Amino acid sequence: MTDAAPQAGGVPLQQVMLSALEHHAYCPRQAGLILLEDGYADDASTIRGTLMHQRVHEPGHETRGAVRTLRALPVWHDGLALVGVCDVVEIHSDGRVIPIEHKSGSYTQGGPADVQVTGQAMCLEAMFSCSIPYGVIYSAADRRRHTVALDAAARNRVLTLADEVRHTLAVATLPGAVADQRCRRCSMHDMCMPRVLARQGAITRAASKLFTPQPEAVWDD
Amino acid sequence: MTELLNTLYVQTQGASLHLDHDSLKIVIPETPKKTLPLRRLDGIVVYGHVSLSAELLARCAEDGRSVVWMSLSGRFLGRVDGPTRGNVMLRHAQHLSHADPVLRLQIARSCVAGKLQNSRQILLRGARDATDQAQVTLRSLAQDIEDLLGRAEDAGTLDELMGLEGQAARLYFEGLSHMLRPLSDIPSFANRTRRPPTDPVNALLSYLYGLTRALVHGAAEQVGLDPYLGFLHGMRPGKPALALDLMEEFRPIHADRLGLNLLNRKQLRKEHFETLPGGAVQMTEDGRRLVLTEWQAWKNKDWPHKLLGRKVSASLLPVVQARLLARHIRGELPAYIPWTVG
Ligand code: SF4
Repeated sequence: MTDAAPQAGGVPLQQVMLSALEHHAYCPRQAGLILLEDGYADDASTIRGTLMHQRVHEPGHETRGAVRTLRALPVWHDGLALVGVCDVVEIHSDGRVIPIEHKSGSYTQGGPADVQVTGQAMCLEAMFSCSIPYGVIYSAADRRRHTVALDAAARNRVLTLADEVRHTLAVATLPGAVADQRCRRCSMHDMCMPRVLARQGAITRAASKLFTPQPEAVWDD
Repeated sequence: MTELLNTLYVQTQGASLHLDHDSLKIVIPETPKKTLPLRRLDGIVVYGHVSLSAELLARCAEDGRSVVWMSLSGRFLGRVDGPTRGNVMLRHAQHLSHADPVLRLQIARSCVAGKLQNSRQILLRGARDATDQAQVTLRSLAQDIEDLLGRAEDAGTLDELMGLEGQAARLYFEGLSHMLRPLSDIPSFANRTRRPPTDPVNALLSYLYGLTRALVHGAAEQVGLDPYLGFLHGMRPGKPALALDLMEEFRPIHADRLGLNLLNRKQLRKEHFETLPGGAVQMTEDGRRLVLTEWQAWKNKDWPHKLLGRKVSASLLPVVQARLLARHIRGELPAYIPWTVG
């Protein structure tokens, strides 16, 4: 994310990781915490994800029949200043190129994973000079492949999110907490403290009482 | 050697630890070798004369598994943690807050308030369990600390604040001496001495402060704060001032109360301490083993956290507090609120 790709106008565009787009799509603050505070939290779901990615991410390739499978393939798009790694890319003998993103959880249509696979496809199109009509999300929880159509709306969403992530990086201020049901499944939850942030009044009240003796406490030990 | 909650404590003098593939091999002369899968361990803490192989250290650094060295008496000596985490925005904000006299004094005041509130609770709790004269003395000491707490709010300078904190500490330790039951065969103590302790109570307190400090230091690192840049304790080479700041609110419960319980319940006795030529007092290996086992159980205990609205184990409280401080430093919370018991 430190490199900047040259843009047609001469102003370098800050390079953005495809994974950051996915985090931002889930919650802008989650992306902010990861990008600005180098936060990374290992909860059960990210560890599961890492273990699975380790398997998927043994770089290499294999050819079975008419399909060549590439793993852990680095991808980028200079013009759009996007960069990432594909879990799996299938190259079919008929010329089709299909990015396949592996997810340990279940699949939500239109969810953040769609953004990542769309961004991967946009990079692959530039790299292989081809056009990619759909990508695939493999969900380990469902044990199913889900097809994602790469239409104009999906592509525009990638560009919009990339601009938003660049904005977060430029202002270096954390976006506010969404403090909704997303927080329950969020790996950054402990670091983010959405519930405490939502209770600014309680903090101010507690601050005003810091020097007032508190009621006698009773505890077992 | 004690393995508790993913932390391996090694205090057998002369032991050496080695890397054996993905395992940790423990070699103690004239004892069968032992191995432990590294995966199981989040941290290794060694006391005194215990050596670690270069390969093991490198591997721990790589995995982000902390290695902490403590002196036999429980003084924190150092740690290895792998690369500094890249939270440059937070560290920068920490430096800016430190350089802002108003913000700095405000955070320092919060640290002192937390310490005084919790010290006072320990004295009141002691008074409940005490009788007659000791009860009266403890309540009056608690009242004196209340007065100092009120004055801390108006402290206009760090020196003034430090002075109040020092006065409160003297009163508090006087209180501790009244809370030690005479039944114990351990002599009561006059006041806090350190480096080196010259009586058993001070030896125990030093040891427990070392454990608390390592816990708080680790919490600051984990959250990405610079443990060496403090608000109350300022900035001095080699002194983890922020860890010391954050530690203030935890001393009374994390260390003092546990120490008192161990003595008053006669779990720790005279034979757990030894006097060295010249007069320094330290715990014996058995004594340290006993304290470590109790410390681990103590760290597992849940305490209410008012701002979070839930209970948090003693081992995680420092992490929660370091995060609250980080959020305040980054301008997301209007103040730093220390953790207080009750
Ligand atoms: S805890 Fe909630 S607000 Fe915070 S990063 Fe996660 S989803 Fe966003």
